[in-house]
Amino acid sequence: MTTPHLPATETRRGTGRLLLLGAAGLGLVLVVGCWYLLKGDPDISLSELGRSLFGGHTHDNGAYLVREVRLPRLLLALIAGAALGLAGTVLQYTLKNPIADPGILGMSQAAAFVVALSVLFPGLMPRLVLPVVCILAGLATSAILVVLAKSIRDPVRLLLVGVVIASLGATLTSATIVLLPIDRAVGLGQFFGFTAGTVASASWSRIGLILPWLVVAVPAALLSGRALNLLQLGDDMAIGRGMRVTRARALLLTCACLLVAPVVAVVGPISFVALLSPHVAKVVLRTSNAHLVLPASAVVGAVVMLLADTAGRLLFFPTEIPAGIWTIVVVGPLAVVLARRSVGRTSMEAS
Amino acid sequence: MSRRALRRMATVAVVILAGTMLAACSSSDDSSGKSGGSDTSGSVSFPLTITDASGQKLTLDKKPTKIGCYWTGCDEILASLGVVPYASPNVADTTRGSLVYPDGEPTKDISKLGGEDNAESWAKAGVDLIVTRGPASPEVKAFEQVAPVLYLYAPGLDDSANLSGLDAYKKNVEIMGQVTGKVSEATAAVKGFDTFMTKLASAAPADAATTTVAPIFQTDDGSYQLIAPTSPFCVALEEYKIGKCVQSSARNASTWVINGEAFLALDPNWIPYMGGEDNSQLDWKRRSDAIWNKLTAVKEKHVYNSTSRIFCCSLRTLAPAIQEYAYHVWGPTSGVADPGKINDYAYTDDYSPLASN
Amino acid sequence: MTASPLAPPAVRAKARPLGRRADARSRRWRWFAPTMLVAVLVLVVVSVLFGDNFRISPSDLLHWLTGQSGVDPLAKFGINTRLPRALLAVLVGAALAVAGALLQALTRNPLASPDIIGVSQGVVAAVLVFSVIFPNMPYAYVDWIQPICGTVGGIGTAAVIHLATRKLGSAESTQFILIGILVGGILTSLSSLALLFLGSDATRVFGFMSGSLNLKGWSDLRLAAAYLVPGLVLLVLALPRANALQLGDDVALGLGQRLGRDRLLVLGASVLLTAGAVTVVGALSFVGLMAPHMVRRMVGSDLRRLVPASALMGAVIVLVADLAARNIQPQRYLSGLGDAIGFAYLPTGLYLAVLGVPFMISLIWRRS
Repeated sequence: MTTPHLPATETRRGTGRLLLLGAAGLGLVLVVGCWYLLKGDPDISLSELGRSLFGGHTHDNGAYLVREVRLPRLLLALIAGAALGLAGTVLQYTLKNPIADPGILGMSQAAAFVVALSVLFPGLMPRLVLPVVCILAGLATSAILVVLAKSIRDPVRLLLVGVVIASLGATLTSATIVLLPIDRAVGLGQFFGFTAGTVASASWSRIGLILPWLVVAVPAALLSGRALNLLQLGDDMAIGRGMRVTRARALLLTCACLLVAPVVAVVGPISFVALLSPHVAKVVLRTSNAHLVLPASAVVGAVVMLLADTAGRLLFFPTEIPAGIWTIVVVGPLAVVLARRSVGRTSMEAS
Repeated sequence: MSRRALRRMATVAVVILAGTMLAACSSSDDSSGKSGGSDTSGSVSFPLTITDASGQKLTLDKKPTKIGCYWTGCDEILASLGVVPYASPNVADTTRGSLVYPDGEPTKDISKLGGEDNAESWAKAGVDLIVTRGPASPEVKAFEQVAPVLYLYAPGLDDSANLSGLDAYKKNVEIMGQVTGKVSEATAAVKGFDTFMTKLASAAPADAATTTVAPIFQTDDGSYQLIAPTSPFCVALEEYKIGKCVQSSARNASTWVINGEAFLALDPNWIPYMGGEDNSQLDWKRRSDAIWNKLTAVKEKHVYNSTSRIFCCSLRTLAPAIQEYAYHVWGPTSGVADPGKINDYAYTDDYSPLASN
Repeated sequence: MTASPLAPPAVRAKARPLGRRADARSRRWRWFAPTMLVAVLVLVVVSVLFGDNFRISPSDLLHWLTGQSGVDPLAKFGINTRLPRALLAVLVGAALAVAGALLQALTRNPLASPDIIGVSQGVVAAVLVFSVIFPNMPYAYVDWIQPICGTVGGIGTAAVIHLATRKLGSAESTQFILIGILVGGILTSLSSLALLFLGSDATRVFGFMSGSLNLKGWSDLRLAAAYLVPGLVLLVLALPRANALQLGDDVALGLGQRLGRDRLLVLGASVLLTAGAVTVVGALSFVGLMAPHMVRRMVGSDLRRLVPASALMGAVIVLVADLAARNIQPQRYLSGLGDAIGFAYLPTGLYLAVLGVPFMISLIWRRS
């Protein structure tokens, strides 16, 4: 079934641009990624890189670092960015709000609070269970949003609920830290790096921890294009076309949760990547068709995270600057600039 | 009517604000110093004026008899002078043993009175001096209503003052000696530390000076957090030529982590693995991340769980920390005594770290 | 019913308020205001007399107030710590509540408040960034530079939001809130970044980010009072115009008001009041939202009554929250967790959030 309201040519042109974006993104990832893998302590050469990745049994220092330290970190950054980009699109379309973002809606704060509890009270839960509890916390947030979305039509009001939950999550996290007994205060340094959002602690086992969830959630998100397009038309139109709006919204928010919460559990609450990616995608593709925007935002998110982590790792080497700092300082204002126009349109629809 | 109402409201508001400011200005919020006659204790005469670590001159009218220690360093220094602090929040900390309270515990437990960040707890305890560490913070203004506040140097944690490393720790002891009137005990404590270190250095093997050391804090996310190179531990090792802390070009603020690869490149000979203050989960053997497994020190088992306080807070706890270092790095055959359970460490009469045979 | 109380002064002077609703409102106002004043006074006295560590007897308080000597030194100390804190709570609560009322009038959205718009976060971020850049500044300078930084931060944030939304079309208010939320989110993240540099002072930073009156004394009260004066001045200027703005841009224009300048005036008053309060105490949230709502049903939307009423209600809210913050030591109630909990007290902002979150959610739900 063709997407409503979009003539076939526009879809074709959009698809063409999507392919271009994908190619450009891939190229950027390859170039920057290579540089990422090459630089560090020690810097290695391109041939060494080739041998470490494909050559098999080299055991020298450089190869070890590439395989065990840099490569998982690179992959984690890409995966996290893609997941966040997808989540951003899903959230923005489902809630019909151009500034929906897991950080603004309180999902990341809920998950971060869970991590705070587990970091600061070390025996509390085993490593494997952590993403699960984070997901549950995120689901609790989404549940509130779903329930209230039934009766609240104004997207601004719905967002405000998220804002309120976010501030509650943040307050609970700070209360946890304030109540920390004296002798555990040294673990805080590690936690603050986490709060900023950092890929530095990447390893294959950590990727393995979140992969099961993403393997389910990413295809689900990519296939949700039709539902997202329908929801964009408005609840009444969607119902008119035979869609069960509340159930769809619940499923979509769950999907977003499954994308965001595991990432937050491992990497920390990265802000604004989810917000920015759909907007950049829409600007590049010049269409709002969710079928196209979804993969595009995944690509944009991955690229943004890669750039942020490259800057964080290499710019002031050997000091580690968490990738989250770059997303806040650079991506945040960019998001404001890009979201401005959509904000204008939304408020005109709402008023 | 509307304009009049407005003016009325405005007047009321201004009156309230003005009244508030008047009340605020007229109330005195300085701790009154009673001017009494001079009082001689030991070779120190009161009233005494000291310049503390924050650079301010503090005048004490009488010898303080009820000292409140906000900072652990104060408890430790008083222990070396044979004085028990009157009030301290550290009583609740179960990791403090007879090393910090050899002569009994403080009378008042501040944590039970409402916590150490609450000025009322200190007031309720009835202290006449509060000792803390720099940097000076705004909260302390409220404490100044209770009692005069004395700042000590905290090298490695706060490097804003000009003194560093061992000199700072020694100055702290000197200050506290003056304040408590125990000047000779203070001099003896400082000399004792020097004796201790000299004896320890005499037992050092030939290659001790080139041993590279990297004390790191335990974490479970694979990150590496060093201590500041201005930390007295590092300064002491270098000064007595028994080791060298690794130098990194990374920022040395206490919450920055260093990139794991850079740490691998530094490849220290020995790694004291610190638990901070919570040693219940401390075990370097349980750590396993890509960088850790590749470290020479880990492969050769040149790592030890450090339950002492390498990174803080005074000469009294620094000495056993260095003895622990020497014991593990040089081995028992070097003659260094096993410090045992650090929190119950007891100095020998002649300040000797060596095993008696 | 003839001219409603929302009508601008020029119209109102000619018409007399007839009709039952107007009468009922002025009757309610006549007992509402004194009742609230008494409540504030009672709460201040209660805050001083009751404390977690020790109680102060009323006679000691009376002696201190009348300047007699012979007051128990512990009581004198307690009064000198608790009284400025309670008075600060009054000032800050009133300021934030009024700022919220003004914002709600400006954006014609009952869910606006300075902490949602991002102004509070801007003040906090500015102060924290200042602490990060100049960590070792002598304390004498910090005292007066920090509030200036905070105020500049608040004004800057408001300016950015205003400029970003100015040219976007007629539905300005919703955009204002949306962009405000986004900017607020960025600033909150920026503040938590500061923790990376200020980690050793984590408790104080967190307290400041949630809003805390811990250890605030007479000098902080003086500071707050001084920094609230510009806000008060702008408030007095802005009040008559803010009423007209509530009716809608077209009405206001039709009545000959200069729209842009008036919006700026109201916004400025709100921002300065917020900045003056937040720079001393931190980002106390939900006061600006809750207080106007709780009183609006009593006294109506006329800002000339709503503003003082919100001020009083805001003072009461913050006083109650601060009373709770000061007297509840979580360790005592959560002792089942053993020594997993430290002995600290929680910041006042947490109690406000605990009150405010369900309040706001129910508010949002009810209005749909």
